[in-house]
Amino acid sequence: MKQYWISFRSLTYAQRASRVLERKGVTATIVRLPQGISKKGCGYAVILRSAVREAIRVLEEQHIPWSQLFARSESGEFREVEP
Amino acid sequence: MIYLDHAATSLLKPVAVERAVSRALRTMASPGRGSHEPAMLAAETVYRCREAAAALFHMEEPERVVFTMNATHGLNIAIISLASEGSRVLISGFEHNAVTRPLHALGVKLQVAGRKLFDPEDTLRSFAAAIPSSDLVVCTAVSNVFGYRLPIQEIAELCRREGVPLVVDASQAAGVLDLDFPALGAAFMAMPGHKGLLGPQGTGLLLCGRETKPLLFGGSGSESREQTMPETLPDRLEAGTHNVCGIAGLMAGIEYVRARGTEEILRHESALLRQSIRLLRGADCQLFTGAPSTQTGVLSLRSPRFDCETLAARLGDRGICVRSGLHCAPLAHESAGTLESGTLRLSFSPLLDAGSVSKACVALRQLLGADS
Repeated sequence: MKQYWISFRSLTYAQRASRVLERKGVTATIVRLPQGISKKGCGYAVILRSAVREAIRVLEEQHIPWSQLFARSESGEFREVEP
Repeated sequence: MIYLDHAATSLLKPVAVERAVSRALRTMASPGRGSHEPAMLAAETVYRCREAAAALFHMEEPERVVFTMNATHGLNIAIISLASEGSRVLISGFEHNAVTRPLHALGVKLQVAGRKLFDPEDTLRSFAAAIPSSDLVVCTAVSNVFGYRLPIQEIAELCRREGVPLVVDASQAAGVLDLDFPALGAAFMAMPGHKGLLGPQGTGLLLCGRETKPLLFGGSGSESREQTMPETLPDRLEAGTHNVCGIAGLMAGIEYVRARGTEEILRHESALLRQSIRLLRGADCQLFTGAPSTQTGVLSLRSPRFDCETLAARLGDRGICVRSGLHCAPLAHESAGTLESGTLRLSFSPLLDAGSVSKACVALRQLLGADS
Protein backbone atom coordinates (compact mmCIF):
# COMPACT_ATOMS: atom_id res chain seq x y z
CA MET A 1 0.00 0.00 0.00
CA LYS A 2 1.31 3.42 -0.94
CA GLN A 3 2.40 5.64 1.91
CA TYR A 4 3.29 9.30 2.29
CA TRP A 5 6.10 10.32 4.62
CA ILE A 6 6.35 13.88 5.88
CA SER A 7 9.81 14.57 7.29
CA PHE A 8 10.76 16.98 10.09
CA ARG A 9 13.95 18.48 11.40
CA SER A 10 13.36 17.17 14.90
CA LEU A 11 11.54 14.41 16.73
CA THR A 12 9.61 17.03 18.69
CA TYR A 13 8.13 18.56 15.52
CA ALA A 14 7.18 15.06 14.33
CA GLN A 15 5.49 14.43 17.68
CA ARG A 16 3.60 17.70 17.57
CA ALA A 17 2.55 17.02 13.97
CA SER A 18 1.36 13.54 14.89
CA ARG A 19 -0.70 14.91 17.81
CA VAL A 20 -2.29 17.65 15.73
CA LEU A 21 -3.11 15.30 12.83
CA GLU A 22 -4.51 12.58 15.08
CA ARG A 23 -6.79 15.19 16.66
CA LYS A 24 -8.08 15.91 13.13
CA GLY A 25 -8.75 12.21 12.61
CA VAL A 26 -5.68 11.56 10.43
CA THR A 27 -3.55 8.61 11.56
CA ALA A 28 0.07 9.76 11.59
CA THR A 29 2.65 7.27 12.85
CA ILE A 30 6.09 8.55 13.91
CA VAL A 31 9.11 6.77 12.39
CA ARG A 32 12.81 7.40 11.90
CA LEU A 33 13.68 8.56 8.41
CA PRO A 34 15.88 6.17 6.36
CA GLN A 35 19.44 7.53 6.27
CA GLY A 36 19.33 7.41 2.45
CA ILE A 37 16.74 10.16 2.26
CA SER A 38 17.65 12.07 5.39
CA LYS A 39 19.64 15.06 4.09
CA LYS A 40 21.36 15.92 7.38
CA GLY A 41 21.19 12.51 9.03
CA CYS A 42 18.90 11.18 11.76
CA GLY A 43 15.55 12.68 10.94
CA TYR A 44 11.99 11.79 11.79
CA ALA A 45 8.81 11.54 9.76
CA VAL A 46 5.14 10.80 10.15
CA ILE A 47 3.57 8.20 7.87
CA LEU A 48 0.20 8.90 6.30
CA ARG A 49 -1.87 6.62 4.15
CA SER A 50 -4.29 9.27 2.94
CA ALA A 51 -5.37 12.89 3.26
CA VAL A 52 -1.89 14.23 2.51
CA ARG A 53 -2.99 17.64 1.24
CA GLU A 54 -5.27 18.06 4.24
CA ALA A 55 -2.40 17.08 6.54
CA ILE A 56 -0.01 19.61 4.99
CA ARG A 57 -2.68 22.30 5.23
CA VAL A 58 -3.18 21.52 8.94
CA LEU A 59 0.58 21.61 9.63
CA GLU A 60 0.92 24.97 7.92
CA GLU A 61 -2.09 26.34 9.74
CA GLN A 62 -0.54 25.27 13.04
CA HIS A 63 2.90 26.66 12.06
CA ILE A 64 4.57 23.27 12.36
CA PRO A 65 7.56 23.33 10.01
CA TRP A 66 7.98 20.22 7.87
CA SER A 67 10.94 19.47 5.64
CA GLN A 68 10.01 17.16 2.75
CA LEU A 69 7.16 15.03 1.49
CA PHE A 70 7.91 11.59 0.11
CA ALA A 71 5.75 9.00 -1.61
CA ARG A 72 6.81 5.46 -0.69
CA SER A 73 5.87 2.78 -3.16
CA GLU A 74 4.80 -0.74 -2.25
CA SER A 75 8.29 -1.92 -3.16
CA GLY A 76 9.78 0.51 -0.62
CA GLU A 77 11.16 3.17 -2.97
CA PHE A 78 10.99 6.81 -1.89
CA ARG A 79 10.26 9.69 -4.26
CA GLU A 80 10.02 13.30 -3.15
CA VAL A 81 6.71 14.78 -4.24
CA GLU A 82 4.92 18.13 -4.12
CA PRO A 83 1.91 18.34 -1.80
CA MET B 1 10.30 14.62 60.54
CA ILE B 2 8.68 17.90 59.62
CA TYR B 3 10.06 19.28 56.37
CA LEU B 4 9.83 23.05 55.90
CA ASP B 5 12.42 23.59 53.19
CA HIS B 6 10.29 23.34 50.06
CA ALA B 7 11.79 26.53 48.63
CA ALA B 8 15.03 24.54 48.25
CA THR B 9 13.49 21.22 47.17
CA SER B 10 9.94 20.03 47.60
CA LEU B 11 10.61 16.79 49.44
CA LEU B 12 6.93 15.94 49.81
CA LYS B 13 5.90 14.66 46.36
CA PRO B 14 2.67 13.21 45.03
CA VAL B 15 2.86 9.39 45.00
CA ALA B 16 2.51 9.49 41.21
CA VAL B 17 5.93 11.17 40.94
CA GLU B 18 7.76 8.27 42.58
CA ARG B 19 5.81 5.76 40.49
CA ALA B 20 6.61 7.59 37.27
CA VAL B 21 10.35 7.74 38.06
CA SER B 22 10.41 4.03 38.89
CA ARG B 23 8.51 3.08 35.73
CA ALA B 24 10.82 5.17 33.57
CA LEU B 25 13.87 3.57 35.16
CA ARG B 26 12.55 0.12 34.29
CA THR B 27 11.07 0.71 30.85
CA MET B 28 12.53 3.74 29.09
CA ALA B 29 15.71 4.30 27.07
CA SER B 30 17.01 7.38 25.21
CA PRO B 31 14.44 9.50 23.38
CA GLY B 32 15.31 10.30 19.78
CA ARG B 33 18.04 7.68 19.70
CA GLY B 34 16.21 4.72 18.18
CA SER B 35 12.92 3.35 16.95
CA HIS B 36 12.65 0.47 19.42
CA GLU B 37 9.93 0.47 22.05
CA PRO B 38 11.96 1.69 25.07
CA ALA B 39 13.30 4.63 23.03
CA MET B 40 9.87 5.54 21.65
CA LEU B 41 8.28 5.22 25.09
CA ALA B 42 10.91 7.60 26.43
CA ALA B 43 10.26 9.99 23.55
CA GLU B 44 6.53 9.91 24.19
CA THR B 45 7.06 10.61 27.91
CA VAL B 46 9.40 13.51 27.21
CA TYR B 47 6.94 14.99 24.72
CA ARG B 48 4.00 14.56 27.09
CA CYS B 49 5.94 16.44 29.75
CA ARG B 50 6.61 19.24 27.24
CA GLU B 51 2.89 19.35 26.46
CA ALA B 52 1.95 19.43 30.16
CA ALA B 53 4.43 22.25 30.84
CA ALA B 54 3.26 24.19 27.79
CA ALA B 55 -0.34 23.90 28.99
CA LEU B 56 0.58 25.03 32.52
CA PHE B 57 2.26 28.16 31.16
CA HIS B 58 -0.39 28.79 28.46
CA MET B 59 1.94 28.08 25.53
CA GLU B 60 0.86 26.63 22.20
CA GLU B 61 4.27 25.39 21.06
CA PRO B 62 5.64 22.52 23.21
CA GLU B 63 8.95 22.68 21.32
CA ARG B 64 9.64 25.98 23.09
CA VAL B 65 9.74 24.10 26.40
CA VAL B 66 13.38 23.07 26.86
CA PHE B 67 14.54 20.61 29.51
CA THR B 68 17.44 21.73 31.67
CA MET B 69 19.23 20.34 34.71
CA ASN B 70 17.81 23.03 36.98
CA ALA B 71 16.87 26.72 36.97
CA THR B 72 20.51 27.80 37.05
CA HIS B 73 21.18 25.93 33.81
CA GLY B 74 18.20 27.61 32.14
CA LEU B 75 19.17 31.06 33.41
CA ASN B 76 22.70 30.62 32.08
CA ILE B 77 21.35 29.77 28.61
CA ALA B 78 18.97 32.74 28.69
CA ILE B 79 21.65 35.15 29.85
CA ILE B 80 24.33 34.10 27.32
CA SER B 81 21.69 34.28 24.59
CA LEU B 82 20.93 37.93 25.33
CA ALA B 83 23.91 39.52 27.07
CA SER B 84 27.62 39.93 26.47
CA GLU B 85 30.47 41.92 27.95
CA GLY B 86 29.43 45.53 28.43
CA SER B 87 25.67 44.92 28.07
CA ARG B 88 23.59 47.12 30.38
CA VAL B 89 21.63 44.65 32.47
CA LEU B 90 18.97 45.61 35.00
CA ILE B 91 18.13 43.21 37.83
CA SER B 92 15.97 43.39 40.94
CA GLY B 93 17.43 43.69 44.41
CA PHE B 94 16.26 40.17 45.20
CA GLU B 95 18.13 38.06 42.64
CA HIS B 96 19.75 34.72 43.37
CA ASN B 97 23.37 33.95 42.55
CA ALA B 98 22.00 31.87 39.64
CA VAL B 99 21.36 35.25 38.01
CA THR B 100 24.11 37.45 39.42
CA ARG B 101 27.05 35.06 38.97
CA PRO B 102 26.55 34.43 35.22
CA LEU B 103 26.11 38.18 34.70
CA HIS B 104 29.26 38.86 36.70
CA ALA B 105 31.17 36.24 34.68
CA LEU B 106 30.10 37.87 31.41
CA GLY B 107 31.31 41.29 32.57
CA VAL B 108 28.04 43.15 32.03
CA LYS B 109 27.26 46.61 33.41
CA LEU B 110 24.89 45.78 36.23
CA GLN B 111 22.18 48.04 37.60
CA VAL B 112 19.95 47.07 40.52
CA ALA B 113 16.34 48.29 40.83
CA GLY B 114 13.73 47.87 43.55
CA ARG B 115 15.41 47.12 46.83
CA LYS B 116 12.49 47.72 49.22
CA LEU B 117 11.07 44.48 50.57
CA PHE B 118 7.32 43.87 50.14
CA ASP B 119 6.86 47.19 48.33
CA PRO B 120 5.74 46.43 44.76
CA GLU B 121 4.94 50.07 44.03
CA ASP B 122 8.48 51.13 44.85
CA THR B 123 9.84 48.18 42.85
CA LEU B 124 7.80 49.20 39.84
CA ARG B 125 8.78 52.88 40.06
CA SER B 126 12.42 51.89 40.27
CA PHE B 127 12.18 49.56 37.26
CA ALA B 128 10.21 52.13 35.24
CA ALA B 129 13.02 54.64 35.71
CA ALA B 130 15.81 52.22 34.76
CA ILE B 131 14.35 50.03 31.98
CA PRO B 132 14.69 52.60 29.15
CA SER B 133 18.47 52.68 29.59
CA SER B 134 18.85 48.89 29.79
CA ASP B 135 19.69 46.28 27.15
CA LEU B 136 18.26 43.43 29.18
CA VAL B 137 16.16 42.94 32.32
CA VAL B 138 16.52 39.80 34.47
CA CYS B 139 14.06 39.57 37.32
CA THR B 140 12.79 37.00 39.74
CA ALA B 141 9.04 36.63 40.15
CA VAL B 142 9.37 35.70 43.84
CA SER B 143 12.30 36.17 46.22
CA ASN B 144 13.64 32.83 47.39
CA VAL B 145 14.63 34.33 50.75
CA PHE B 146 11.54 36.32 51.67
CA GLY B 147 8.75 35.07 49.42
CA TYR B 148 8.33 38.66 48.16
CA ARG B 149 6.13 38.66 45.05
CA LEU B 150 7.65 41.17 42.69
CA PRO B 151 5.20 42.87 40.27
CA ILE B 152 6.44 40.75 37.37
CA GLN B 153 3.45 41.32 35.10
CA GLU B 154 3.84 45.08 35.35
CA ILE B 155 7.62 44.86 34.89
CA ALA B 156 7.02 42.69 31.81
CA GLU B 157 4.60 45.29 30.46
CA LEU B 158 7.21 48.03 30.91
CA CYS B 159 9.79 45.87 29.12
CA ARG B 160 7.41 45.22 26.21
CA ARG B 161 6.66 48.93 25.94
CA GLU B 162 10.37 49.82 25.83
CA GLY B 163 11.35 46.86 23.64
CA VAL B 164 13.78 45.53 26.25
CA PRO B 165 14.02 41.73 26.52
CA LEU B 166 13.06 40.21 29.86
CA VAL B 167 14.31 37.02 31.48
CA VAL B 168 12.09 35.79 34.32
CA ASP B 169 13.48 33.63 37.10
CA ALA B 170 10.39 31.64 38.07
CA SER B 171 12.20 29.37 40.52
CA GLN B 172 9.87 30.16 43.43
CA ALA B 173 6.83 31.05 41.34
CA ALA B 174 6.37 28.04 39.06
CA GLY B 175 3.65 25.81 40.42
CA VAL B 176 2.47 28.50 42.82
CA LEU B 177 1.47 31.46 40.64
CA ASP B 178 -0.44 31.41 37.37
CA LEU B 179 2.27 32.42 34.88
CA ASP B 180 1.12 33.11 31.33
CA PHE B 181 4.36 33.05 29.34
CA PRO B 182 2.97 34.38 26.01
CA ALA B 183 1.06 37.15 27.80
CA LEU B 184 4.18 38.20 29.71
CA GLY B 185 6.01 38.47 26.40
CA ALA B 186 9.25 37.52 28.14
CA ALA B 187 12.25 36.39 26.14
CA PHE B 188 12.83 33.47 28.51
CA MET B 189 11.48 32.05 31.73
CA ALA B 190 13.58 29.58 33.72
CA MET B 191 12.55 27.33 36.59
CA PRO B 192 13.56 24.18 38.42
CA GLY B 193 11.48 21.03 38.25
CA HIS B 194 12.14 20.05 41.85
CA LYS B 195 10.49 22.89 43.75
CA GLY B 196 6.89 24.00 43.06
CA LEU B 197 6.51 21.69 40.08
CA LEU B 198 7.07 18.79 42.49
CA GLY B 199 9.42 16.82 40.22
CA PRO B 200 12.75 15.19 41.07
CA GLN B 201 16.07 17.01 41.52
CA GLY B 202 18.08 17.35 38.32
CA THR B 203 15.14 18.65 36.30
CA GLY B 204 14.37 22.15 35.08
CA LEU B 205 12.55 24.00 32.32
CA LEU B 206 13.48 26.91 30.13
CA LEU B 207 10.59 28.49 28.23
CA CYS B 208 11.93 30.16 25.12
CA GLY B 209 10.45 33.14 23.32
CA ARG B 210 13.59 34.22 21.52
CA GLU B 211 16.54 32.93 19.50
CA THR B 212 18.96 31.01 21.67
CA LYS B 213 22.64 30.24 22.03
CA PRO B 214 23.51 26.71 23.14
CA LEU B 215 25.45 26.30 26.35
CA LEU B 216 26.26 22.64 25.67
CA PHE B 217 27.21 21.05 22.37
CA GLY B 218 26.78 17.40 21.46
CA GLY B 219 24.41 14.77 20.18
CA SER B 220 20.77 15.75 19.76
CA GLY B 221 19.45 12.68 17.93
CA SER B 222 18.81 14.89 14.89
CA GLU B 223 20.75 16.32 11.91
CA SER B 224 23.69 14.15 12.96
CA ARG B 225 25.83 14.81 9.87
CA GLU B 226 26.11 18.49 10.82
CA GLN B 227 28.84 19.66 13.17
CA THR B 228 26.81 22.57 14.44
CA MET B 229 23.88 22.30 16.82
CA PRO B 230 20.46 22.21 15.10
CA GLU B 231 18.74 25.57 14.67
CA THR B 232 15.41 24.22 15.85
CA LEU B 233 14.17 24.00 19.42
CA PRO B 234 14.34 22.04 21.61
CA ASP B 235 17.22 20.11 19.96
CA ARG B 236 19.38 23.24 19.84
CA LEU B 237 19.55 23.37 23.64
CA GLU B 238 19.26 19.71 24.60
CA ALA B 239 22.64 18.14 23.85
CA GLY B 240 23.19 14.69 25.34
CA THR B 241 20.84 12.10 26.74
CA HIS B 242 17.80 13.45 28.56
CA ASN B 243 17.12 12.84 32.24
CA VAL B 244 14.18 10.64 31.26
CA CYS B 245 13.48 9.34 34.76
CA GLY B 246 13.48 12.88 36.10
CA ILE B 247 11.31 14.14 33.28
CA ALA B 248 8.81 11.32 33.83
CA GLY B 249 8.58 12.36 37.50
CA LEU B 250 8.36 16.01 36.54
CA MET B 251 5.42 15.25 34.27
CA ALA B 252 3.59 13.62 37.18
CA GLY B 253 4.38 16.67 39.34
CA ILE B 254 3.11 19.09 36.72
CA GLU B 255 -0.04 17.03 36.27
CA TYR B 256 -0.64 17.28 40.03
CA VAL B 257 -0.19 21.06 39.90
CA ARG B 258 -2.54 21.36 36.92
CA ALA B 259 -5.18 19.20 38.57
CA ARG B 260 -5.07 21.07 41.89
CA GLY B 261 -4.56 24.48 40.30
CA THR B 262 -2.06 27.20 41.18
CA GLU B 263 -4.78 29.33 42.77
CA GLU B 264 -5.61 26.59 45.29
CA ILE B 265 -1.90 25.84 45.90
CA LEU B 266 -1.19 29.51 46.61
CA ARG B 267 -4.22 29.69 48.90
CA HIS B 268 -3.02 26.61 50.83
CA GLU B 269 0.56 27.86 51.20
CA SER B 270 -0.60 31.35 52.15
CA ALA B 271 -2.80 29.87 54.87
CA LEU B 272 0.23 28.00 56.27
CA LEU B 273 2.24 31.22 56.12
CA ARG B 274 -0.42 33.17 58.04
CA GLN B 275 -0.66 30.35 60.58
CA SER B 276 3.12 30.47 61.14
CA ILE B 277 3.10 34.22 61.54
CA ARG B 278 0.32 33.98 64.12
CA LEU B 279 2.16 31.29 66.08
CA LEU B 280 5.51 33.06 66.02
CA ARG B 281 4.23 36.55 66.77
CA GLY B 282 5.41 37.44 70.25
CA ALA B 283 8.47 35.21 70.04
CA ASP B 284 11.85 36.90 70.37
CA CYS B 285 12.57 37.27 66.65
CA GLN B 286 12.19 39.54 63.67
CA LEU B 287 9.67 38.17 61.17
CA PHE B 288 9.89 39.35 57.57
CA THR B 289 6.31 39.68 56.39
CA GLY B 290 4.37 41.77 53.93
CA ALA B 291 0.79 42.30 52.88
CA PRO B 292 -0.84 38.96 51.94
CA SER B 293 -0.83 39.84 48.24
CA THR B 294 2.93 40.47 48.29
CA GLN B 295 4.16 37.22 49.88
CA THR B 296 4.04 33.54 48.92
CA GLY B 297 4.57 30.58 51.27
CA VAL B 298 8.08 31.53 52.38
CA LEU B 299 8.87 33.07 55.78
CA SER B 300 12.26 34.41 56.86
CA LEU B 301 13.09 35.38 60.41
CA ARG B 302 16.09 36.11 62.60
CA SER B 303 16.76 36.03 66.30
CA PRO B 304 18.68 38.62 68.33
CA ARG B 305 20.00 35.79 70.54
CA PHE B 306 20.85 32.94 68.19
CA ASP B 307 22.80 32.70 64.97
CA CYS B 308 20.45 31.37 62.28
CA GLU B 309 22.70 28.35 61.71
CA THR B 310 22.50 27.46 65.42
CA LEU B 311 18.73 27.76 65.36
CA ALA B 312 18.48 25.57 62.25
CA ALA B 313 20.75 22.94 63.81
CA ARG B 314 18.66 22.89 67.00
CA LEU B 315 15.48 22.52 64.99
CA GLY B 316 17.19 19.79 62.99
CA ASP B 317 17.90 17.95 66.24
CA ARG B 318 14.13 17.98 66.81
CA GLY B 319 13.44 16.60 63.34
CA ILE B 320 12.40 19.96 61.88
CA CYS B 321 14.08 20.79 58.57
CA VAL B 322 14.53 24.45 57.69
CA ARG B 323 17.04 26.46 55.68
CA SER B 324 19.49 28.93 57.21
CA GLY B 325 22.15 31.33 55.99
CA LEU B 326 22.18 33.48 52.87
CA HIS B 327 20.19 31.09 50.64
CA CYS B 328 22.59 31.79 47.74
CA ALA B 329 21.08 35.27 47.49
CA PRO B 330 23.42 37.81 49.13
CA LEU B 331 21.90 40.60 47.06
CA ALA B 332 18.46 39.94 48.57
CA HIS B 333 19.96 40.03 52.07
CA GLU B 334 21.82 43.22 51.24
CA SER B 335 18.51 44.76 50.12
CA ALA B 336 16.73 43.68 53.29
CA GLY B 337 19.61 44.55 55.65
CA THR B 338 20.23 40.93 56.69
CA LEU B 339 23.53 40.27 54.91
CA GLU B 340 25.51 39.99 58.13
CA SER B 341 23.08 37.77 60.03
CA GLY B 342 21.41 35.76 57.30
CA THR B 343 17.96 34.40 58.09
CA LEU B 344 16.19 31.24 59.08
CA ARG B 345 13.68 30.30 56.38
CA LEU B 346 10.49 28.26 56.61
CA SER B 347 8.90 27.35 53.30
CA PHE B 348 5.68 25.51 52.63
CA SER B 349 4.24 23.11 50.09
CA PRO B 350 0.87 22.03 48.75
CA LEU B 351 1.38 18.66 50.47
CA LEU B 352 2.19 20.07 53.89
CA ASP B 353 -0.50 20.01 56.61
CA ALA B 354 -1.35 22.62 59.21
CA GLY B 355 -0.65 20.23 62.11
CA SER B 356 3.00 19.84 61.09
CA VAL B 357 3.41 23.58 60.72
CA SER B 358 1.89 24.09 64.16
CA LYS B 359 4.26 21.60 65.81
CA ALA B 360 7.28 23.18 64.11
CA CYS B 361 6.29 26.70 65.10
CA VAL B 362 5.70 25.68 68.72
CA ALA B 363 9.19 24.12 68.84
CA LEU B 364 10.73 27.18 67.20
CA ARG B 365 8.93 29.51 69.59
CA GLN B 366 10.30 27.56 72.56
CA LEU B 367 13.83 27.90 71.21
CA LEU B 368 13.47 31.59 70.45
CA GLY B 369 11.93 32.49 73.79
CA ALA B 370 9.35 35.19 74.36
CA ASP B 371 9.86 38.75 73.20
CA SER B 372 10.86 40.83 76.21
